[in-house]
Amino acid sequence: MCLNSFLQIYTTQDTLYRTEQQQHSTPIPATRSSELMGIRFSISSSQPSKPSLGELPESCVAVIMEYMDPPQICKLASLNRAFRAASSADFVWESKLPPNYHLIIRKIFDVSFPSHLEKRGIYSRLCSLNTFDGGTKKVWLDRSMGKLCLSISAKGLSITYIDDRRYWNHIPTEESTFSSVAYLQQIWWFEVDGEVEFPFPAGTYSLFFRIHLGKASKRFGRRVCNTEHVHGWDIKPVRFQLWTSDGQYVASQCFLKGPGKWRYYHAGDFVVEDGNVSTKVKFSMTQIDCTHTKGGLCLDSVFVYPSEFRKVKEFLN
Amino acid sequence: MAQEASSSTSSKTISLKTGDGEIFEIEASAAKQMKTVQRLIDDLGDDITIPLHNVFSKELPKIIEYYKKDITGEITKDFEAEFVKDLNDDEVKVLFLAANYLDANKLFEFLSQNIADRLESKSVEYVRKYFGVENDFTPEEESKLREERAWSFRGIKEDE
Repeated sequence: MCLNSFLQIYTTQDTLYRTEQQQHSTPIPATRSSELMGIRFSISSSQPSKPSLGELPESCVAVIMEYMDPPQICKLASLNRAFRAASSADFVWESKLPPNYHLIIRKIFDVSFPSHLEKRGIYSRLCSLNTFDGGTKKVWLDRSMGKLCLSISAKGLSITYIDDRRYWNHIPTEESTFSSVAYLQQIWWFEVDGEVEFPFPAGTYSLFFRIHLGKASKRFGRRVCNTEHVHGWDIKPVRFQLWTSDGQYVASQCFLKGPGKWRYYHAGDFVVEDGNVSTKVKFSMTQIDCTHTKGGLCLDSVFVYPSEFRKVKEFLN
Repeated sequence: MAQEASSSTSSKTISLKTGDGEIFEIEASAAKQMKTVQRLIDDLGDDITIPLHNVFSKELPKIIEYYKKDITGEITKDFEAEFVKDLNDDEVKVLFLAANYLDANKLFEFLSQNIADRLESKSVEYVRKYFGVENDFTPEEESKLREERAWSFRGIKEDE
């Protein structure tokens, strides 16, 4: 009885190795073969001269891939068939998706989201800029880290006096993920409010206003920036406030500066404890000191990024 | 006749014999962490020297060292960093293959992470050499792959 199971163990393990070896043309190490009870198995009598992982089963490759970042996994899928197969293993991609991805899908896609997509396909879909809320918001997973990011267009914000064309205008642009930005000519009362309700995965997030002092345009294919209307921002700082539905509150202020370049102004951070419920965030940016006017500003959108991006992404610093 | 594994495993040691004929001792509780070894013990009894044909005297002591620390709950990030610090890529590979053969899950996962770290931001060619794999795609499969990759991350947000 014990001899049978002894053989079973050896044939199972060595068959695993032998099967993989047969699929590749790499030489099998020197072996002393025995035949016993009609079952053929190999016993290595000396150490292989060079260890080769080429004989690894797909499942082992997939475990290594679980610890890699998505771009690397996709690169390695082009190595050979075994790697291609390993790279599409559901458990590899399940570990990259945010834990509450079902909720995210339900929020941003209607019934048209294919239900039988493998996990890699879901990941890929979530990585593109997915528009929702009537085109005013976009949400996506950062491709290399699988973390959720969100942006709200100027048209999705409440800008005081936005309909008064003496003050604000929507102008088309190529420099935004949306098709237009809001341009402020001049105003006394500068106030931009907004809110978003979304199933953010648990974590800490930072909210930014993407702003450009000066009006950019293209002249003969080159980018030109008109700053003649930029004024008032150096007199008093702007004020940022942020509230969440669970009682978090942050306020800060800073001066807007550095015309001619899109800048991300950090409004504050908020913490999401539970990704299984939607978090509602309200935010505002104001400069309502009516002793001076201010203007010449382009407001693109509000971004919500995982707070750890501030260390990793240069454009957020 | 196979004996039942001894119930008092605390001080019992198991003898393991490598593919190149050397014998090493390991605590029974550490041996338990390597499922292949445990299966052999269950079948052959714990008084017999367990043969490990695909593991050799170069790597087995390192594996035993890892599990010695594991059973006393002393595996820390520092220990793990020390453990792989002086290993070159080939040595890690050998350990990884051995951990797979021995079904030693904790070591296997740890080494997977380490290999992934070593390959981080390395080129496809480097990884190909590291794993020793040949490209076995047919030209049709290759072009289908290229198509897939072009589609797989369309419309993503680029950093500024």
